Amino acid sequence: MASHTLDSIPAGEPFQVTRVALAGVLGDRLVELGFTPGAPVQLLRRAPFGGPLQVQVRDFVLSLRRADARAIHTAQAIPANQAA
Amino acid sequence: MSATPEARSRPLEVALAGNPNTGKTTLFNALTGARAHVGNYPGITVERRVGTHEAHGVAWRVTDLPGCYSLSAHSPEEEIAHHALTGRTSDPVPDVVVVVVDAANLARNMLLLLQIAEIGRPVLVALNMMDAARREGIDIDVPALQRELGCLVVPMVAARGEGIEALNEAVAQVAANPALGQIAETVWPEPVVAAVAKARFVLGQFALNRPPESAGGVLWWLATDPEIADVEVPGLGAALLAAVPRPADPALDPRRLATVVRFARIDAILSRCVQRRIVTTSGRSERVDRVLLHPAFGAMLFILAMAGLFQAVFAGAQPAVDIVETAMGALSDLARTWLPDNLLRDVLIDGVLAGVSGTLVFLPQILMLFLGISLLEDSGYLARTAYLVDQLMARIGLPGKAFVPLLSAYACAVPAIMATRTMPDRRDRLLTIMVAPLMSCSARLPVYTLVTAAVFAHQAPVLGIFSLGGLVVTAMYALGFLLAIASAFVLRRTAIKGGGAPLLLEMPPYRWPRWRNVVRSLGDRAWVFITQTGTVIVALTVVLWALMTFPREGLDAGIKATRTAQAHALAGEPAQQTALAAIARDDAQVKLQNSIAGRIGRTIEPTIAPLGFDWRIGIGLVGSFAAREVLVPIMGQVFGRGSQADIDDRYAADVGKSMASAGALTPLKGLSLMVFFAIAMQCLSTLATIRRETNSWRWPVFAVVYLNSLAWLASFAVYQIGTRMGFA
Repeated sequence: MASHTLDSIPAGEPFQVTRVALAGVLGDRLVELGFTPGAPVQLLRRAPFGGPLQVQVRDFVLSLRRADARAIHTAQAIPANQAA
Repeated sequence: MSATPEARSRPLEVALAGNPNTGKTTLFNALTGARAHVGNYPGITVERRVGTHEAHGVAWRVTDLPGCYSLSAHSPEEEIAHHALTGRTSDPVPDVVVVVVDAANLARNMLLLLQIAEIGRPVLVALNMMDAARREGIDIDVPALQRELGCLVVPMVAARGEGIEALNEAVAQVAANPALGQIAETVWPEPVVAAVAKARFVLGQFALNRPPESAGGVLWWLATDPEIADVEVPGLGAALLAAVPRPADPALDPRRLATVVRFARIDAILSRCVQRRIVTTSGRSERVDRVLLHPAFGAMLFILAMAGLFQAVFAGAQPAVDIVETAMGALSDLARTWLPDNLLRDVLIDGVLAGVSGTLVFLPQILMLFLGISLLEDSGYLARTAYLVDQLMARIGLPGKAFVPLLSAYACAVPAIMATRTMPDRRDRLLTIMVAPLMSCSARLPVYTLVTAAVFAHQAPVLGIFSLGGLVVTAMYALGFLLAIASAFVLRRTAIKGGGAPLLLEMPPYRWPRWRNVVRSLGDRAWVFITQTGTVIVALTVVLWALMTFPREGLDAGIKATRTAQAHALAGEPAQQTALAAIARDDAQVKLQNSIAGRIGRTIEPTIAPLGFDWRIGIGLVGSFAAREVLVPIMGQVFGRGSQADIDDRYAADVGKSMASAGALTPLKGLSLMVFFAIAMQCLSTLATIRRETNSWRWPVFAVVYLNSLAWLASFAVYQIGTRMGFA
């Protein structure tokens, strides 16, 4: 399965987190917000001019900068999504 | 039901914990009504809300802990929440912790629940916003959730008061039987167990004067910032780091592994208790976002919303400001006629009352701004504004959340600095506070008017259409803005190193604002400003009054007597009155020139002469510390125009012309004065606010030093280069 980072996936399609490739406090924080392996994630939209991303992870919506989103690896969710 | 029958010697300690945006504060307000107190935790600016409540004859003391996503001490809020839960603040350890959970967003909310249960506090779950969950098609089997967790779960809609009675009951049950508030410990995988054992050993060596920590408590130490651990016990952070190093692959880090395992447990529990009737992810809020965050349409709406907010603060508050000023003016006139003419009267009126008035005039703008902010925040749009401008703000080195505070600083720095409270990162916030006074506030306008009316009004229009005065004022706005960007750049690399926190901003679902919450937060804000900032403003105003009053050496007694006699000899009542008024004005002028402030003005003359200012303007620089616009009446007094409380454009222009005809103001000197006022930190109310918001005198003093040095350098450059180029 191809791995895509969260900043590069198509908007509006269901993906799931595979790993957070970032050590330190920011990585810890992302995991605490629910970016754990298998968690459903979706890119909702990108702010214009290289601005932040709006993403849905599990049941809530978050905005984060593209550079930070690059640390979050995802994989396409199985079409018949049975997560959770 | 089993409310404790024994009489308690102290109230039941109940803490409300939870993620931000879970309705925790709404629940707190519903429980405590008007019996709440807002303050700060000592030493930091995290707000501390405590109130009382009574249920089944038992008095509660309710603490609203700061909202946080986790207990890992990456932010002051998390640190405080943890310290409050473990009895490390001045408050007693809570008997019962009510974890407020958003029913529509269970998984992320439950991480905090598990962490609190792990450190051993009796918990129960307030499953709030059940209505929103139902709307989103989420069915929660509450009895099953209660079984799975092992603690009580109370479904609620706190905003409508639903579930409060059941919550009262549940808290009483847990208070009577703390075992009801336990959650079975998570089964940790080997790397976590090993790390906990190592950390426990280190903690033992440091002989913390506390009972041995639960595995969850030890995990907290592991996830703690080493600096924070060191604050509590010197050397502990480093020792823990040495015992449990961070592995190269973050996925193998025991701290992170613990979070992943908690989420796995949460997912397993929820899979047995929660059904989703609607599988689509595009909820109501997403549909609204499609419009409000639309690349073109959303940007327009944003500009409109911000323009509205600014207009409300800048102009909307003006009628109320006028009322406050008129009322306070009438009050001091009244006091002047009623009280005997002595020094005590003067200090009361020109010191204390002026200070009180100087505090109250800020209230309309503060209330207006915070009305706007709480409506934006409560509705969910404030977080979106940060998303929209983050990239733009990043270019000037500040986060998106600095936008609203900096925008409002164009009206007034005082509410703007208070508004930085919405910024989560301490350093970003400090940086925003330090550059906010550079935004050209409305108090500078009378000074700009004074100068432009006197020396730029009769100049030929630039390119035939632009009035020179208008261009110069516009340039002042630009100057402040550009210097703010430059200062942010420099400060970020010097005095306020670090910061630049990542943008990880929850976009809460759109909601109608709750008027009760809005009104309540406005009341709290006003109260804190009056009691805490106001006292500093009054004290500083009295000091300033003393500087401008003593030693009270007016006209020479002989001269005064001669002139008074001459005045009385004049024919006709009106002529006599005019002559007497002139004597009083001259007397006031001499008194001010001889005052301590006047002497300071003379003393600093050598330092301000290179800027084109003489000692008379020096007096103004001292006196305008009360508020920038006060420069106008002080100059009026110094230059023999008399002072006037109502600083309208005509008076400002007249004073400016008097200064010009006395040679104190030329186009070049005027420009230098405007540049100085555009940059300098000369507002004691702003200083009092910085002091209150940063909890130390260090930052207000720093602001005075850096901004006034900058102002001096800029005016120096303007005047010296201008003179060399042959301008006058």
